[in-house]
Amino acid sequence: MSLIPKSLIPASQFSNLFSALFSHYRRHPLQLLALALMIMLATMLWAGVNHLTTQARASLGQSEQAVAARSQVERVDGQALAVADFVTLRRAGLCVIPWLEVERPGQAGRLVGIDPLAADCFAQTAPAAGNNSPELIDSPEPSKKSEPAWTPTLNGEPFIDISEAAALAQNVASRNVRFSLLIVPPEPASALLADYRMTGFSLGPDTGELGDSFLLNLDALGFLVLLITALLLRSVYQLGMAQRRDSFALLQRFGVMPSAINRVLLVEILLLALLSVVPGVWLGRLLAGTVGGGFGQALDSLFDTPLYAGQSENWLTPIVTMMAIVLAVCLAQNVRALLLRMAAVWPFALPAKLLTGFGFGMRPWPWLAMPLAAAGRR
Amino acid sequence: MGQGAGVTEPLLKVRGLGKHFASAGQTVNVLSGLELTLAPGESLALMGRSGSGKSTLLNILCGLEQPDAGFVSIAGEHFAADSSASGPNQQRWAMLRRQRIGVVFQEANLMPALSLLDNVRLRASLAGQSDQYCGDWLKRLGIGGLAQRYPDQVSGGQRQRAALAMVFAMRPSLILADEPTGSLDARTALEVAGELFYQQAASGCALVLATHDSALAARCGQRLDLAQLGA
Repeated sequence: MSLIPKSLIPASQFSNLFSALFSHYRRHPLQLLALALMIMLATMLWAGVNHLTTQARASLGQSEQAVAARSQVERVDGQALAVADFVTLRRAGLCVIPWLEVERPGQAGRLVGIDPLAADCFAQTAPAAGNNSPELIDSPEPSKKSEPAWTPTLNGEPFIDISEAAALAQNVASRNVRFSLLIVPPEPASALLADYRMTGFSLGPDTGELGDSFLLNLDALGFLVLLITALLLRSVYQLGMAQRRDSFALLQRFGVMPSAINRVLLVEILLLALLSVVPGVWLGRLLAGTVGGGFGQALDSLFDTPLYAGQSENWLTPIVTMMAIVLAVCLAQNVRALLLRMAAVWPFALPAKLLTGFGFGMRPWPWLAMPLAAAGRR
Repeated sequence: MGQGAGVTEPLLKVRGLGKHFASAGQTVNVLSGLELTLAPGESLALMGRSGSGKSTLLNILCGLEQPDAGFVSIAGEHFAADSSASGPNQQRWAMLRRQRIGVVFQEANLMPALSLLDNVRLRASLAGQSDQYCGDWLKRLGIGGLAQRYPDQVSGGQRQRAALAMVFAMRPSLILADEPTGSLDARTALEVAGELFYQQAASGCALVLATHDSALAARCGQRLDLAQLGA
């Protein structure tokens, strides 16, 4: 669709009209600079937060996979596991390791008793990325499978030899003792004995809600950044529009239709947005890269394995999202007028009234910004 | 009420024109049953006290306001009161203002961010005229040396001359002037009015001039006192 209305103003005059309207910024270059900087700043902050959120979401997804990759054995009949089960499974050729968690007597926290000798098969069979090995031990590189079996040594609390843990378990209530058998999933899965089944094994409390809460905070931060910068952007733009109102009236007196003026303004803000949004997204990625390094280190420490997802290569989504938001914020009046015209036409009446605040004078742009911001989250 | 020149096809024809406003719960008839005819090259002075409807009539004649009754015909385009607000008619009015009707108001006739020359060029361009002679128009009106100045860098009289240059550069069929010398001192007003009548006569376009100044009105071929008309 052409932005130049053929019946209203010839294409040859469009550039003259554009030049005439843009002349305002030639005389007020600081206003143009402020507008461009505002758009760039808004884009940088939102794109930065958006990138961080995306990275955090991907990283947490990886961490959940890493945690969920650990498996344990349970009895099909629901009975508690015992040493006899460990023996049975090892004799069946399965790689299992006993895991005995005991509450520290008189202290906070817990101790974990493992069998260093049984961990040997974990070290040899665990996939490098999956880190199925408990990694509690000063061990050589797991991938060096050709070397002779290593002699594991525990490096102190909270991991201790299982015999010490068993001795401690004698002195604490049974509810404070948890015995599990970790297993390297056999291939095929049917190799597991019929009396047992595999389930996921978590080292600690479920971090799902914590992660969701963290991501929600990031989303809320992104929305707030967007809202505040959009308000600032709108203020600067409206200031310029107020100063140009007489020019618009004069042009109408010269025979330029308001719709033609609106089209020129649309082209003007599109160009300005494009020129400001692209560097803004680049700066946002730079910001996210700087801040994201610390986040990656935190994740590494938390999960003891590199889980940081790094930056995605998607440029289009933040650019399109910010372009749409800049247009919605700056041309809200025009959008509202268009929606009100649409409200007179039956199929569009209800959505148009919803977006224009039911005709109660509410501004439509926050309504428009919300779905756009949500879309930006991918 | 103006009468046509007879043999010449009228450029402007108004019949039964009416306009009222609601004020404090009452209806005030500003214009009622107005009729006038104007041929190319003719000039008409609209007189009357403030509030008598001079500016309202000019606004109706250029499509910026809608009449409540009657019809207006300009350069072969007919507009009835009951349909003049419709979209297609708005476009026809816009086309007339762009190409055939030059409007000069008392103030604010120039784009503030454009130089005087660029203002004239813009007006000529919108009317589909060449911008080749825009500088010449400024020279003819005695402000050729100020072509690159912005409107806020020149005097009120110079701004009005630039406004006239804009109007003449578009080569209009009809000029509507609403108190074009109202904000000028006597000497400048005389000079600006002289330029207006001279160029209007030279170009052969019609002129409708709203003014309080009886001396200025006397220079027009026809006069219409809206106050006496009882509108």
